[in-house]
Amino acid sequence: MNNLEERIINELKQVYDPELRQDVVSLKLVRDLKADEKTGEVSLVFKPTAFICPIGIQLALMIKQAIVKVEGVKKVDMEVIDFVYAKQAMEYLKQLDEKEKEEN
Amino acid sequence: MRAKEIVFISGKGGTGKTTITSSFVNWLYKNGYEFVIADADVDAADMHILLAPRILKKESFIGKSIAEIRNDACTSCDLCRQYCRFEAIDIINSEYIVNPFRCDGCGLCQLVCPVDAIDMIPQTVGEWYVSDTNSGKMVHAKLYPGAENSGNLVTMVKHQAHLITDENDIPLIVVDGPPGIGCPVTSSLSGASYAIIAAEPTLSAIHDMERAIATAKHFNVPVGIIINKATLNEKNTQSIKDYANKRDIPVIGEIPFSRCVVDSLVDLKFTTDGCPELRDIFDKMFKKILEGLK
Repeated sequence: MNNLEERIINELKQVYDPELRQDVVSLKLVRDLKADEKTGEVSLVFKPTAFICPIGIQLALMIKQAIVKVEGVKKVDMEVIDFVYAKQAMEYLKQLDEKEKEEN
Repeated sequence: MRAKEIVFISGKGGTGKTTITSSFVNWLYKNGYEFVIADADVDAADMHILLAPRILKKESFIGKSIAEIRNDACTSCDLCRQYCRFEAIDIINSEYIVNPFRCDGCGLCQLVCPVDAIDMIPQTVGEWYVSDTNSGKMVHAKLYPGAENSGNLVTMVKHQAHLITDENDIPLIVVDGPPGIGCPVTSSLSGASYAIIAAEPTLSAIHDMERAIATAKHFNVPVGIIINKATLNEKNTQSIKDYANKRDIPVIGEIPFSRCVVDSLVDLKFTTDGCPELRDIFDKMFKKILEGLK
């Protein structure tokens, strides 16, 4: 694990699943995390605790917002799997990118 | 690929969910299938009695937070007591005390407190375990007596079961569900591939079976029925079959009332082992469940 990945994991340890009251790292909700220290590109997979997770979209956004805050991160490519609203979650994540572009 | 989940529920308690689930587990194991067992009846788990798990991992389960008032900071403004709709705050010997059995953990008292004298303290409400059994890995849990958040604990049990299936490429989770149609049942059904209703030919079981089926259908989970102790009341058994026929719900099988089932359980044996006379019935029934899963 490189330094950027370590810092991302540390940031994600502050993101809590409000139902199970544990952070998304210890719950293993984030998988295949890869971060390129040179380009700042990050990719990961998010799988909520349940297929019909009532807070899956919310958690997806919280995870992405936490990663974006980490110094050195330029782009986050996040896939949501095994979730009834995976498509909608991906849409919201895309909107988050567009919002950030507008703000910059 | 996400493992499929077969969930055994019933509505009414005591219809034979765990007996049938454990028999199914034993049959799957003997026929070479790979699976993980999840005991989602966290309020009154009992699969462990028969499966004798060897605990590999034990974790505390944190439930809702309960308000705690720091009386050294409290100014006795009484706002928390007035706003609490659960009447959870009492004045005892001039001190404001939270009754933990009444507190719902909503946090309103903390919001209205003008001097920040209230903390919300997370409570440990149960435990969950990952264990090894002679039939395979098992995730199970224990909710403390009177504790809430059973639905969330079921979510945790199923989540941990999925972590095992994902890591080991196991295609199936067998879930022993809880009775009723409340939070732990809806959590058990969340994302399930197939719900098997263990029904018995009694009026209360039929009534509750209908409610359990309605709950499963609400979540678009396909349903099948096993009529347990079918020979106890043939008229009621026929009512269950008629109900199923009208709604295109498959009756997967009928288990006759048999003394050997009770004897097997008393001897801590799977009924698939202790009831040779029911072996063919179990065999047909369990094959049908797997066919329904496809």
